[in-house]
Amino acid sequence: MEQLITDLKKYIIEELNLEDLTPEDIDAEAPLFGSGLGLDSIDALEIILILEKYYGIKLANSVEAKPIFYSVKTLAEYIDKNRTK
Amino acid sequence: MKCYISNFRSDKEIYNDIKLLIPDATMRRRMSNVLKRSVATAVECMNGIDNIALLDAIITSSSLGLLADSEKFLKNVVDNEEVLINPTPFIQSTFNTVGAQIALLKHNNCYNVTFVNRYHPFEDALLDALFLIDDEKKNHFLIGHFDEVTPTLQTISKRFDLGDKNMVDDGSYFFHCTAQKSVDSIALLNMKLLSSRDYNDINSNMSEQEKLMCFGASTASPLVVENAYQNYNSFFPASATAFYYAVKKVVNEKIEMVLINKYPDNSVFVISVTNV
Repeated sequence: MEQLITDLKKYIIEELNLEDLTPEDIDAEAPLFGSGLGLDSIDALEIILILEKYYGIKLANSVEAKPIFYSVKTLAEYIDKNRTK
Repeated sequence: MKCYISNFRSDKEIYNDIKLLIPDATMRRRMSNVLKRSVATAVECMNGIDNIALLDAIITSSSLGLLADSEKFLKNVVDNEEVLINPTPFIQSTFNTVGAQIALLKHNNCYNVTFVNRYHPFEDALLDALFLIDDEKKNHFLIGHFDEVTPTLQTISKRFDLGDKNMVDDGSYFFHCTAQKSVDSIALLNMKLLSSRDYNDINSNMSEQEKLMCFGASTASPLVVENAYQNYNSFFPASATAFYYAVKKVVNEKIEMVLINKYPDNSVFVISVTNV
């Protein structure tokens, strides 16, 4: 799980162009949207692409997505259970 | 048709930290290099974000638009076989992104247009501002040009034997103009669009003084520069660069300049700039 969280942080930094941050700067339990990292809806689309591209996960249900997208940790837990690659 | 220039800025002369000029970190991190530099140049030209709220029109121009983002988007489409396309390069690759991002800084929903064509989009932007003054009595304008050179553009240009000797650099140039003269006015801009036939008629049938009057010059001996831009096909911001340096020379040396920009489509733009 630790490795998954680190990889996920790296992908988020790279794909969302968070150039001033390192994986260590991101608190895995802090909210991704609103407060915390302060991401927005365009970033949510980028994260959906990360899930599909790197882990083979397709998210179709937006209601289901809300708790999954809460933090890096919740995302990693979901990926761990549902990844196809 | 005329207007006054209050300030002008090139992306080579951004004095403030870009983080101060574009304080919104989310907006900044999504911007490509040329987009970031263009918006920062515009903000400096307006002497700060707050003055963007004063604008009645934001008019930008480009020959090729935001190439790096367009390339990134197209590469995504090809590499990922038309699925899993990242939204940001697509959103940011449109020609009007620079004008839109400037407007978004102060949520100014004024007239906002981008002119794009291979030869003279910058002159079209200047003309549009002058038409707005005549037709709609607008006062404050921000007029700018941007273009970027990417490795792909250099490769393609070499393949078409355009050469890269004229491909000097990327560039963005912004000019804050007003219809009315103010304490901030530093130069007066006068502009005419002629067909090459009309231009040749003027040249062959008129005396030097008549010609200069016809070109909008207000002094007897302005510095006249003829630019034949068919020789600069691969350096797209050429005419905006020339205009920027002309304004700089006019303001610094307190002279008048007449730029005669000739294009392969037989249009001739005559721009006179006078120190005020």
